[in-house]
Amino acid sequence: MTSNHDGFVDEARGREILGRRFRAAGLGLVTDHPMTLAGKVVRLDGFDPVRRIGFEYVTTEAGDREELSPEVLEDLEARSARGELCVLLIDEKHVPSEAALERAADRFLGVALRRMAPPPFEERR
Amino acid sequence: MSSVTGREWADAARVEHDWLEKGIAYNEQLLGQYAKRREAVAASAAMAMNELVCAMLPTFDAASMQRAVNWTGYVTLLHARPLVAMENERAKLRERLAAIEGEHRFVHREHLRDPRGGKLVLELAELTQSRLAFADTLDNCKHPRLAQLLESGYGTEAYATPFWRLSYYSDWEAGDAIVERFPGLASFSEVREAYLRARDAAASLDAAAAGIRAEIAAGEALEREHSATAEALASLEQRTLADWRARLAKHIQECGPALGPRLAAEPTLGMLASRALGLAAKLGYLDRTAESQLYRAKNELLAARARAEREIRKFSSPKRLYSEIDREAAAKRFRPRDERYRKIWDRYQQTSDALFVFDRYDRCSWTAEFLWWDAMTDGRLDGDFIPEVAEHRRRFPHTARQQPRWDDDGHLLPPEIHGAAEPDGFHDPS
Repeated sequence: MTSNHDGFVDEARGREILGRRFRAAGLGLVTDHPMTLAGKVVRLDGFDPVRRIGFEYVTTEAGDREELSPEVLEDLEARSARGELCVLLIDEKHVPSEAALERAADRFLGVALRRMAPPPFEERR
Repeated sequence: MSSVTGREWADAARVEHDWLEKGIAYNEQLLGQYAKRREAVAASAAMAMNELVCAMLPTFDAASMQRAVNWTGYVTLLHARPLVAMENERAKLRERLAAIEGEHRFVHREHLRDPRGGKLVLELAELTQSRLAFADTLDNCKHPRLAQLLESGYGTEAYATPFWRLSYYSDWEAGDAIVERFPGLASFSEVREAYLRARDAAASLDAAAAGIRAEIAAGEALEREHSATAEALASLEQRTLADWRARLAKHIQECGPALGPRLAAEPTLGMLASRALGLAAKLGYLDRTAESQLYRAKNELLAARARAEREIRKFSSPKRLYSEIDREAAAKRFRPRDERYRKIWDRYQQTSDALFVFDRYDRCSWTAEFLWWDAMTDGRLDGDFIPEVAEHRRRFPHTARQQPRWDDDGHLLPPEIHGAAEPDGFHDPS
């Protein structure tokens, strides 16, 4: 396990694991995808702009705690709650292991892909 | 200027260090001898004082106490009214015993707490057995995240953790792990119900068991108190007598030879008293002698060894190996120590031997001029390093014999320096 000096899965490794699982689920992931939240442009670690599914691995090392202010998180969670997007928010401090991170990603993808599935063809028309 | 090199200095320090090691070991041998002698004398002194106070106060009654006061002047024995105090104590102990013997916990102690069939013991066993029924459910639910699952309402409609947060998936994983341990249950909500029922039932049984355990403990404490009180009552007279004998012994110790006139008409008591006081004095002299000579020498020798070690390190370094040092300073620094310490140790041994072998306690003259030190050393050894002896010399200078005396370095002093008088009129109690 690649960990930082605090013993957490570090930013690069966390992004790599999540990116691999998201791509394996068929998502067209864009890294450091810009998104305006609470009037501020933040860059999500990984995001599929078409399926509107992504992830943000929050680490101290990457300065995420400053960028993801309480207002930004509130906006992001409100949009997730409204079904506009699905962004998995993971704080490095709560990740016990790489395997646990992988399992959480897979379960999230199961939920998110169902929720963000495109409407049936008839409805789209 | 004549000089020595750092190497020569270090060599001299090594020689001194070797001598100091031997000196410290020898000093320790003498300290070991002192410890053994001290132990033997302390035991004899305690025994002699006990014999004396037992003879003076054989029983705890008014007549015995009056006689002890007459012999020792220890009027506290009468003024403190120890017999009244003892009777008061006896009444209190009896009252407490009666109170304990009236308590339900004590009266029915066997019925309640008999290990094989006591009511409380059986109830506790039943509760323990009942609790076992819930143990499996509680054990199977053990998980580091269980408290979090219960608090967040996982498995119920109240669960509100959003699915985009990691904790949602951590809860999910933990919940699945727990449900797997219950083959008969399909979901965490069923497990949760079973767990909460088991937890509440176990808590209720635990509370009941704690209450019974507390009741058993209180009963056992009461039984212990009853035993202790009964024991205290049975030994009251004996303990009180021992206590007053100890106080009397302390008083006798403080009086010393001043007791003499009071014991003049009691030769047996006089003999016991002189032996007890002589042994107590011997113990004090042995202690002071060891402190003044052996412990002081030990501190000096240890400090000297540390200095020699520092110098060996310092002058063995390449930087100092060939440095030049004044030869006179070296000669002064490395003066032989043997003679000085040999004198200290010889002096200690001579004094300790004289004190230790002394057994003529009958030589106590019971006069103000009498000093045990003089009796024990036959007045031939200097005891001025002992405050009691020095004070006695000041008060009765004519009692001092011409004694050999030494300075702090162990050198013999000429008689005119200490001004000791010839022993005209020295009182030999023998």
